[in-house]
This record gives sequence, structure tokens and C-alpha cells, in this order.
Amino acid sequence: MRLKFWGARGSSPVPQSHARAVELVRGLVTRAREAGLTTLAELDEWVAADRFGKPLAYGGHTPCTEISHGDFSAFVDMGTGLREAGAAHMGKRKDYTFFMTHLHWDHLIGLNFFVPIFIPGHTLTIYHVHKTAPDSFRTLFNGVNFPIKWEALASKIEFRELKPYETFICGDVTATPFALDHPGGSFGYRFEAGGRSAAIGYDSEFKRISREALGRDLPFYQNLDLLVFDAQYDLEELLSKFDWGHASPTLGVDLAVREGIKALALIHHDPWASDQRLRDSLAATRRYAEKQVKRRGVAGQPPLHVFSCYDGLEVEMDALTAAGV
Amino acid sequence: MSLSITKSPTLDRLVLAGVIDENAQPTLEAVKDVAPVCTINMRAVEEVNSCGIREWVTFLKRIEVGRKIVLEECSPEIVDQMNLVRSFRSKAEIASVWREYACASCGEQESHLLDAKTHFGGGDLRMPALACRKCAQALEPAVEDDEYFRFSL
Repeated sequence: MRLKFWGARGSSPVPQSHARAVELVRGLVTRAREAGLTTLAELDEWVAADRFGKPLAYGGHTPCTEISHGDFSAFVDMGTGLREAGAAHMGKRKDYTFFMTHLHWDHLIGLNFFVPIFIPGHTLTIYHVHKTAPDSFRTLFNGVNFPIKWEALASKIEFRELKPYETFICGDVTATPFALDHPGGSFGYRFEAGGRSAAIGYDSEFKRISREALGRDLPFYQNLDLLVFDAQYDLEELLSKFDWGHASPTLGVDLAVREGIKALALIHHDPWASDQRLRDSLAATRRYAEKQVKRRGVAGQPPLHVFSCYDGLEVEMDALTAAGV
Repeated sequence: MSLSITKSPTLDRLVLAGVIDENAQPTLEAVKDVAPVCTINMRAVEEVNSCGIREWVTFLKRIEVGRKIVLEECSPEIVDQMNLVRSFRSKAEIASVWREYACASCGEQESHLLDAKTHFGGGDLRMPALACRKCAQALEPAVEDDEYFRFSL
């Protein structure tokens, strides 16, 4: 099983700006100077070899996560990352499968620019838990919010409602929706394939996080290889944003250490967070994870692998590694 | 986590002990009808994780409305949390904290209680010169003054 994160920001896309470009270039030039690089060729060599580490920038697309295994491929959510995913897949396939966590706009607005939807012969199958999902999609294409009307879309679009905890099966891949804590309701998905498991855990505040409070949702975090976790706010911010529907990286560590989850992927980054802040947050989360595994892990519990998602990151579950992060 | 409470019409005394984590919620939620002044003794709090911080701050914000909350005998773990998360203490007054010391000469380790009035209140640090109980040489704090008392500065 493989995951590709086409969008890692939450709430709002974050376009590149002059100020962000200056910050990026200054940071890179400083590091290149410290490394003693003097030519563009040397710089290219270092970048190609990931010697500056990845990512140089986290990107600004809203959530769209591709899960693939053998011939199976599906996207969780349709944030702005879907636009680039569509371009990458064009000409290679005609059928697209989606699983929706919820229907807030940052998880839908990539669909308007997903090119296959306009081309005859393509089929989109959209699995959703919210009963109102078809209405939300039609609103995106009502002729007022977007120039092209739903009825004019040339592809075939099918909606399939899933009940919470009802398992979707395709070959040896399963996907099961479970409840998250988010205004309006949100549903994570646990994917299982090839002996590996990954759970999508955004958008969620994780107000229910003790074993008792999770109740029926607890098994979705157990015997789990990878948890993709809502990391929008640092803990200090979270304490003043009760009921905003998002969590903090160290809450993910607490959950992962308690349940013995092998790896934690931080995602749904705050649109206000600079790249440096995200790097600092990852470093602090890793320090906390190390401390908590020592303090609370069971005897022999391996270290928790923590990494931070960025636009374009690919994770091969067999290795449970994310190159350069 | 365990919590004991001694109630009176004008003053409640709470004593917390153990680990404050995600399982603390039911215990903290059970604290109701708090007196106008409430002291919370935190000497025996051994550990607080991130989930516990959220439960604790939610609790503190709930009980402090219209009341004076005083944290007493804060353990080094609590001091660490107050220094890491500014809102950990919310509006509570810090009356005293425990601090760890070691003797540079014989290695003996000691804990001493420092109180706000005498040692760290009002934005000034007035640290005592402490001698080792075993060899009478000077004790050195485990954490530097400015770092340990960041919450009070």
C-alpha cells in the first residue's frame, strides 16, 4: 500500500507569495553558503541528493490523499491538491474512486479543476457518509458558484452512501469509515491492504481520545501501522480553540504511544504556519514522542516514527518510511 | 490520577496525585460547587501528557470563574508544563513550587519547597543559598533559575 499526499494544508489553500519566496530563497542561500557551495551545479547536486532535507517547502494545497495498492487507487477528499493529481493521472486511467471525510469546502474545491470530470468516458465514484453529499457537489456546479453546470459535466458521476463502520471491499483492499470529532461531523477511514493498515484521522479535534471515550472507534486505532493525524494547531493554540474541530501533533503522539501505532503522519497544517514553524513543530513533536515512548510505552516498544506531510510526499507502507522527512 | 477534596463554605482544598492524562476527565468533571477560594496541592503529580494538559486547562477554566484558585507545592513536572504551555496555569496564582537540587561535592539529591512570597513572586528571583544535608557543601539546582522560573517572570 502506498499513500501520496497531494495536499497537506488545512482550511484554506496557501498560495506562494513574494514574502514566502523571499523566506525560502534566503533560507536556501544561507544553508548553501554554510555548506560551502559556490556554483549552481553544486546546488543542483545537493538538491537532487536531498542533502538539504525534504521538504524545502510544505506547499499550500488543501487535503487530497491518494491510497494505492496494486491496481487499486482511491483519493480521500478533494482539496485543491486534486487538481494536480488529475493532471498526473490523465491519460492513464478512466475510473476514479473517492472517499469523503466530510463536506467542508477545503475538502471539495479541487473537484472544479479536476480535468477528468469534464471528459466523456471517465467515471467518478464518490463514497460518502453524509447524506447531503450529492447536494453539496451539485452546489459546486450550480452555474453560479462555477460556470459549468452539473448537468453539463461529461463524465459519469456516481454517489455511494456508506454507513459508519460499513466496510468497502475492493479486491484485497478494505476501507471502513469511523467517527471523528469535527463540527458537522467527519469520518476517518481505515484502509487495509497487503498486510498493512493506514487510518486517515483528519479533520478531527480528538476530544474523544481516552479508550473509554473512543468506544466503538477505538479498534480503528489499534494494530495500526500509520495514523494520518490532524496537526493544525500547536497545543497552546488548541487550548484557545475549543470546538474548532482540529487537533495538535502531541495529542497524536499520546494516542499513538498508548495504542502502539508504528508511525504518525502530521497533516492539515494551519494555513498561517510558515515552513519554518512546521519544521520546528515536527522537531518538537519528535522530542515529545521520544520522551513519551520511554515514559509510557510498553517494554520493548519501538520508537514512534513521526513525519510531517507536504504536497507531493509519497509513503510506501511496506517500508513505513518517508524519504527525507 | 487521584483527587481528594476537603470542603468548607469559603475554602476548598484539593489534592491531586499521579498522572494527569486523557483518563483524568471524569475525575475533574466531578468537581462541582467550588468554594470562593480553592487551593490545589500538586506535589504528588508525577506526569502530565498533552491530553492531560487539555483536560486540566478545561477544568481550570471552568472552576476559576468568579473564584480565586491557588496552586500549591507544584511538582517539577508541573513547573515544566507551566514553562512550556503559557495557559497551563490559566489565571491561577502560584503559591509554591518544589525544586530539585544536587550537591556538587557528594552528589546527594534534595528537593526544596520555594514559595512565591519569599523566593519568586513579583517578577524577582530571591533564591536561597542551600547547603547539602549530608556534607554541608553548596547545593546546585538541577535547572537554571531563569529557565525554571520562566513562568513567573
